[in-house]
Amino acid sequence: MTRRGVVLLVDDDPAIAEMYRTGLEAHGFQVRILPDAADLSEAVSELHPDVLVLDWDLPGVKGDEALERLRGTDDGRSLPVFMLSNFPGTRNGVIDRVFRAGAMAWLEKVNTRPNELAAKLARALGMEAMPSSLDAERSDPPLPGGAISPEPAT
Amino acid sequence: MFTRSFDQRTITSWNEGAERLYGWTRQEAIGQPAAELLCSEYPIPLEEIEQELLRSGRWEGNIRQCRKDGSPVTVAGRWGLQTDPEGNPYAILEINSDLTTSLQTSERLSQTEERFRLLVSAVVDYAIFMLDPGGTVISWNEGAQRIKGYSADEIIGRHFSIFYPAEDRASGKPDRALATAERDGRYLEEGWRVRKDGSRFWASVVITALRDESGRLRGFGKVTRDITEKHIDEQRFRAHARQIAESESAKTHFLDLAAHELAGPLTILRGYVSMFEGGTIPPERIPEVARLIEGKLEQINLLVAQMLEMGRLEDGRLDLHLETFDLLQLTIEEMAKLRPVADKHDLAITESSVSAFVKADRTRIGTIIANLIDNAIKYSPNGGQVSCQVGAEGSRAFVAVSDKGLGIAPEHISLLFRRFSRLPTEANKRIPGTGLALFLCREIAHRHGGDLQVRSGPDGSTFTLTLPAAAPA
Repeated sequence: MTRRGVVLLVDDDPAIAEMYRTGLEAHGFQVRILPDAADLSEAVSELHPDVLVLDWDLPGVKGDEALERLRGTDDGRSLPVFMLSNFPGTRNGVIDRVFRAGAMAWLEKVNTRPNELAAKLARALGMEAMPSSLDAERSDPPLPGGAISPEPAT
Repeated sequence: MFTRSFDQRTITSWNEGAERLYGWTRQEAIGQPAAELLCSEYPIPLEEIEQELLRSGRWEGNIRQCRKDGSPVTVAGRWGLQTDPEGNPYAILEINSDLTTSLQTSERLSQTEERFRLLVSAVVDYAIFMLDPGGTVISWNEGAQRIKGYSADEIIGRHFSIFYPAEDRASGKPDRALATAERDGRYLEEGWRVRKDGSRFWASVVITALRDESGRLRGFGKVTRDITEKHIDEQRFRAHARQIAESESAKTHFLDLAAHELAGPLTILRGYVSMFEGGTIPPERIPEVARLIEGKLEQINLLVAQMLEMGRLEDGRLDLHLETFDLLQLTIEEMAKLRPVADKHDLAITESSVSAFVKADRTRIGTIIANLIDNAIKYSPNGGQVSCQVGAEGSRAFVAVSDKGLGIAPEHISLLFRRFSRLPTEANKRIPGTGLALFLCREIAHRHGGDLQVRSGPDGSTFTLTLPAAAPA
């Protein structure tokens, strides 16, 4: 199978992280796992991932805050980031904050199978000819598979 | 007014007033003997009256007489002696005014007053009393004595602020009440008041400003009723309503938590199932993944069982299916089910455990043990030993589940078994849970005549389920 890049997966539930690792590796990704986002920027500088999959409801630093910090670093400024969480993101404006911090999508974990995640990551990395570009995806209605597209910036 | 001759005692003049009073015309009256015509009854013999007239020239007294139609009339007589220039008496001037009308009026008035006084004084359900403009008690009734405990002797002359709790007196509430009554005409309130013995009662109070015809404030009427029972009923009702509202919001919160708790295991199940379908699972990992799925299903099952059990408990449909079984065997089975989700933990039955038979609902006791083990795993996120000790002590069989986990602060112990309550610690927020399991476990233990207790310290917690011991089947 072709090498398709390094995914940094941040999730505090080891069973869930392991499940996605299994699935993403089957699709050719290399997967690195972090249990929390406390040292996210350092990990990004060290591991040079091609894409970041970030849980929102993490111990200590939450996903949107971790992402904001990451965007302030050289290595993290333009890294594609997917939020993947079972947290009800519409609550307390979490989704809005996440998109403002620069996430590409909010994916509902329970509705995101590893092959679906793999497809989204591949598309984001431009590794496969896909019918729609990332920009087209941004303006689409809510994606199948529980994804919610970012709202236009206001 | 009429005159009569002194010697003959016959009427010599008769005016219109006399005609109106007695009904006799002047023609009919003149020449008639006055005493006989008017059937007069004097308070003292007529001779003595005449002697008094001769002595002082005047006499006053009440006389009962009758009119032409025979009806009685009482008159106030003011008599004067008429004398000629030589000083010889020749006539008596009788000015008699009707007392009957004014007597009846004042009698009626005093009867009304008496009835009213009786009414007020006899009312026992209401304290009805009067205050002077400064707030001093000036009247008291039976109800006031009954409600407030003071007799009239004890309280008349005291300031009414004595009925208020100390904090109200300190804040000037009694004076404000009077000021309000004076300004608005009345003051209405429900509040605590103090009896003579210091006990409190919940009072409904009306203070009414009493003004005379000129508008001058003469004092206050105060009507107080003891509605403590009604108040307590209302408090109970409100507390009940609050409880229902809290329980409703707790249920909503529970649904949130339950959804969140289900989402994790479902994510994993769905992920692996899709990989089985896609054939992307390395074959050597299949046994391990299958065990993990089994463990996650067990967690989901526990939650669903909790929800069902909760529904049965609330509907009163929780029937126990009793059978005799060995707690040790059951504990071994439940531990085996959860082992796959405890990869960081060392699950073990202590070596000193022995068989302990109980007659109980095996499925439900199994659920309690599974919940205790599941909790022990979840609340010791850094791993460590989770051990179960099974045995019997006297007439009680027990299972004690110990972990090396976060421990529970003493002030949180009482929250543990409360329905839907989750401990408000930062570490806990990381751990999914509905706050229902322990409540249900203890509830079901109680229904077996058993109990669920916890001991906790900084190095971990032990939950002990006790049940009445039974002979082996």
